[in-house]
Amino acid sequence: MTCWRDWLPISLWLFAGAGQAAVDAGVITLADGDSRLLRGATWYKLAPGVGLQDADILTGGARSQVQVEFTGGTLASFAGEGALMINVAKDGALALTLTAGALKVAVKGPPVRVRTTQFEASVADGIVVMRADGGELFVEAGSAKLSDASGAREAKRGEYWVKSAAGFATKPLAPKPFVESLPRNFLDPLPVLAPGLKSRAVPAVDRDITFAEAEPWLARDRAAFEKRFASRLRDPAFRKAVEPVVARYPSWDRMLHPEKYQPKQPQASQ
Amino acid sequence: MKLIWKFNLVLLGIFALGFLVAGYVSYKALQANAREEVLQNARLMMEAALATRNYTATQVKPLLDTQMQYKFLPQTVPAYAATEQFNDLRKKHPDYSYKEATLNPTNPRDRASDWEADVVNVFRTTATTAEIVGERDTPTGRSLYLSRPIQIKNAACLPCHTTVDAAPKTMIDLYGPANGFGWKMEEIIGAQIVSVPMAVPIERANKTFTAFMGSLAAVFVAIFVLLNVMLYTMVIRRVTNLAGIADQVSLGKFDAGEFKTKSHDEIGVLTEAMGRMKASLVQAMKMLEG
Repeated sequence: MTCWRDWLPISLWLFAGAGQAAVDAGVITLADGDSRLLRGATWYKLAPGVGLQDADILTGGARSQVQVEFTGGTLASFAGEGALMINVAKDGALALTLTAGALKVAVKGPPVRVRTTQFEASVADGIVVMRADGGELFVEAGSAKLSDASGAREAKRGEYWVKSAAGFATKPLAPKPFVESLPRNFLDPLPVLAPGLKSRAVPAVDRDITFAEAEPWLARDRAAFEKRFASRLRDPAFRKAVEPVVARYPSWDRMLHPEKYQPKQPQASQ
Repeated sequence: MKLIWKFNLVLLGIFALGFLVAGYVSYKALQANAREEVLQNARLMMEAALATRNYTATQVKPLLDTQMQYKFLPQTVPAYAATEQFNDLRKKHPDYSYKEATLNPTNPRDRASDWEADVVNVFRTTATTAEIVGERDTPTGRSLYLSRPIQIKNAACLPCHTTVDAAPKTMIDLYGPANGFGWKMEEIIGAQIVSVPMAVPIERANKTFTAFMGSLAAVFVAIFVLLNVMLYTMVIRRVTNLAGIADQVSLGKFDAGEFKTKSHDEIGVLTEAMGRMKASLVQAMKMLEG
């Protein structure tokens, strides 16, 4: 039977990140379909007017679409089944991580970095459309700098780029399958809707994240997400799901089984 | 020849001449009106096409500029929009047509046919020609065409029509690199041609002409018959009667009849004079016998 003291480290973790008032990096102006917001370890329902903060994650289903207007004027529209993580640095630099789905970004102001599993695109005053699943990017306006392990290259207006195992390939025209896979509204300019919002909305809590939902994020960046989802260890169901694989997550193992990490007492001599 | 036949011959001659003159004048006037009606229809359709072009260029194309980055939309091309609008009209009125006949078009359907190329070349060789109106026979009948030159006056047209390299990639993807390039500013590259069927107005004019001439003929026939009746009753019959009595009196048969009349017209006066002449003759004969 564990003692309440054993839960102290967990308690400290629980309150470590709480209570900090975060500044909105942008606002949701469109939320269709079964799109959700993951803030911390909690799922929230999305609605126009909900503010977005650093480390927020947007997810969507097959028919969902979310549009965000960031402070500074950059617009981003995310559609399809996948996830988009928003990171805002202290200097205000915006970085988006697209795990799956389609994204259209109209950048205004400071450059925006968009990361997929295959490459990173840096866009300054341009418009790009990308599909994470196929490693595809089309420069609708302006230009973008594409980089991966092999180096960086400039993508110009009207160019289509695709990353495969063989590397980057480019075409002067977006191919028909790519165009047809995009949401219809991606082919038009993204509308500016924020001025029409009457007021900001508070996101409604849906539920906490399950371990099955957290696993892909933990696999992506174990250290950051161990810290982020540590509060879920309070949930017996979450703990039960973690136990079989707790060895993968050292910090959680230390929290759940502190006895394993206690210094061994020397045996008394007879 | 009897008087009535002479009269009828002259009358027929006059009626025939009048009928022919009236027919010729009315036919020419009706045909001219029909042609003018067709031409006004053609002008109206030409103006409608120009309005569609303008609407497309100023209101539709700007809205679709972003989509054009992904896929060429021919709906943004003013010529395409005007032609498609007319093609919709043609579903109900197949005899009407509009075409932006071009010598070197991007869209192959706009390529000028032989007679259209002749029209375009007239515009190219005589730059002051603003409009050409003509008629031609088609499988569906006589057609009037109204054409105006298409001249490149707006530099915004040239990015799609100078070189392949300058043209939008999406347009090349749709139409290929072989057609519709090499255009220059101020060049007459084609002609807007509206074709309007003449059959209906001509038929209407012919029907009107037939009705008019028919009614004119009916009036002439009625006048002819009435004049004959009047001539016979008022002149021929009375003169024949007078002649018969005078003839009998001339043969000494003074009891053949009396020269009586209630009328005071010329024949009445003649009848009274002949009556007095008969009375004088009878008295003279009595004096001779006396």
